[in-house]
Amino acid sequence: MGRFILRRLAQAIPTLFGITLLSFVLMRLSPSDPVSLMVAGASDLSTEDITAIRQSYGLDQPLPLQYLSWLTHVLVGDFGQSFLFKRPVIQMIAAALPNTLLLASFALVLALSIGVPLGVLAAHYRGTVLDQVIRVFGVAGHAIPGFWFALLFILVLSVDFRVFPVGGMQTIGKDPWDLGDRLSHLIGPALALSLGGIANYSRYMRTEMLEVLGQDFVRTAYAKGLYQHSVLFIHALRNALLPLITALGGLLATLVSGAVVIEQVFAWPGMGRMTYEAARSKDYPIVMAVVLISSALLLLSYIIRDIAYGVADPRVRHR
Amino acid sequence: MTGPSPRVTAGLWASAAQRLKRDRLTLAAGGVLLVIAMLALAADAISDNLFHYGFTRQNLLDAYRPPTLLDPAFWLGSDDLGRSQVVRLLYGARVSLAVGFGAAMINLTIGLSLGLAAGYLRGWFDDFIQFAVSTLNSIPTLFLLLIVAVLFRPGPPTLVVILGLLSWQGITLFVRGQTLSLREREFVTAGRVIGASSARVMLRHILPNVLPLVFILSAIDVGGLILTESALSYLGLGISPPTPSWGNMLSNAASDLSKGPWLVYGPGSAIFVTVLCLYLLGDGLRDALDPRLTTTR
Repeated sequence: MGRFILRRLAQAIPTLFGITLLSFVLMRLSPSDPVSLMVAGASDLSTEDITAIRQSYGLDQPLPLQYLSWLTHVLVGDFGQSFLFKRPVIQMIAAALPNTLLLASFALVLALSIGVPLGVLAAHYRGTVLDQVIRVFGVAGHAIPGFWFALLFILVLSVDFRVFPVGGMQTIGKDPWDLGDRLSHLIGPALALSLGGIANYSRYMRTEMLEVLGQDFVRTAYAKGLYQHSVLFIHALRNALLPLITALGGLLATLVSGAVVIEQVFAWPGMGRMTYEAARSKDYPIVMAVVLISSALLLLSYIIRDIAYGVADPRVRHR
Repeated sequence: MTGPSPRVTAGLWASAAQRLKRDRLTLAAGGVLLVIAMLALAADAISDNLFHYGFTRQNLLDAYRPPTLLDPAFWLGSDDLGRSQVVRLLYGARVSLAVGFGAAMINLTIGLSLGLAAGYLRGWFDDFIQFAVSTLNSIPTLFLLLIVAVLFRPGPPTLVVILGLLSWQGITLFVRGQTLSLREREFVTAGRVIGASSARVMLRHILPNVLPLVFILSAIDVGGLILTESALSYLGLGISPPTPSWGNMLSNAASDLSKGPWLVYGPGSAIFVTVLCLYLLGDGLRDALDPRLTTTR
């Protein structure tokens, strides 16, 4: 097992390298270089001043050297300063990341706890109206733009019926540990974010369950007189869940991407919203740092997924 | 086609058509898409002759008019500048479909060539492609698009290219997998034995076997690309106003939700219906072409 984990970690190194290289190349390909963005608005700077600034940032060095020096800074967590806020980028990310993780993990829980039972039900009641409805939802939930669902949610439940707050993470002035208040702010964005995941999991689960339900051990379980729900949820579900670990990677990626838009709609103070605002004001030390950190996190979650798969299914370890 | 005679097994296309004929949902989805495409193509003629209203025409006196049946131009109401919502929806269809299909053509071309080459040649090229795919897949798509959109400030044609260049991983992996299994089949060995070059084997023997399923995958891809474009445009980084796209219309609607709630319904439903039909069509065609493949995705 230890060797399997080590091998999987080693495989991630070239990918991580590729991500940093791609980010760096994109940054340098940009038509406007960082210094001209930094000094935009400061018209009293002479050409010599600008050259001096370029030198102080090492921008007159050859590109491979620049990449290496940038990489060594990044490796110790130094992502530079935000152009706009003049604060170290790493501090800003440390403030926003937990909010996004909270939102994404709640969405993940929703996707699993709604999607999986839906799929099990659809498989069990195959061919009935219930199955049809769940299958239609399985495609439709995937086709609804999350941000549109979010707008409808706000329009109907927040503006018309005033059941949920319009946005933000908590009501200003309320006790930050008021869990009910926090939860009512969380439900809208998490639901909008998890819609695609719920749909995906219900489809995936239905197919897996259909396969498992046709196997001999399920018939045996019924034959020895077990209750229906214990056959379904204990015997069959456990065997159908395994391939779903694979689907988890894709879901995490969509959650991270989706958060950019959903956080914007609900004014959720997370990484997505910060990135979006940084992107609009061309504050790209922030954008670059966010891309690197979220990619690294995604890569880490892929590794954890593969290890979990290796734990669950010994055959994978020896491939 | 006279239908399969009982003694001869129907060919790939004939049996697919047979199965498709019974699949009403897929046919309906195809029909709706056809209507949307035709409306988009005829956007000029329709807005000139039916609505008498251009998509940029504005009149502040008509701002935030709720939907009404009395004036065709305001069937779906008007926005903050008094622009006709229904006319803008028509033109938005043009933009969204063009971006979706255009980008899909690009990623299809890239995916087919890279996938064929990686699967057939294997070796270092395959390793490199696998590396590139896993790298791109590890970066959250929207973040990557965000950087590129900010750095290059794309107009519609550039946006199509960027979307196409950043979304070829799925098709590449699929084609690679298919090619890996096809290259071990007898007809490929036979071709090699009589001296066909690698390029000839790839293009004349393997490609035709991969193509049908790849086109179907591509239909599903178009749906995903339309969703991505709408999200980008919603953020103000895709298609920028005054060119109407469903995404930027929603972004405009969101600026004051309570004043014109009807502005939210139209563009969103348009995206939803279009993408839904593309997904249904893709799934249905796949089932018709290869009934063994279940619709897991």
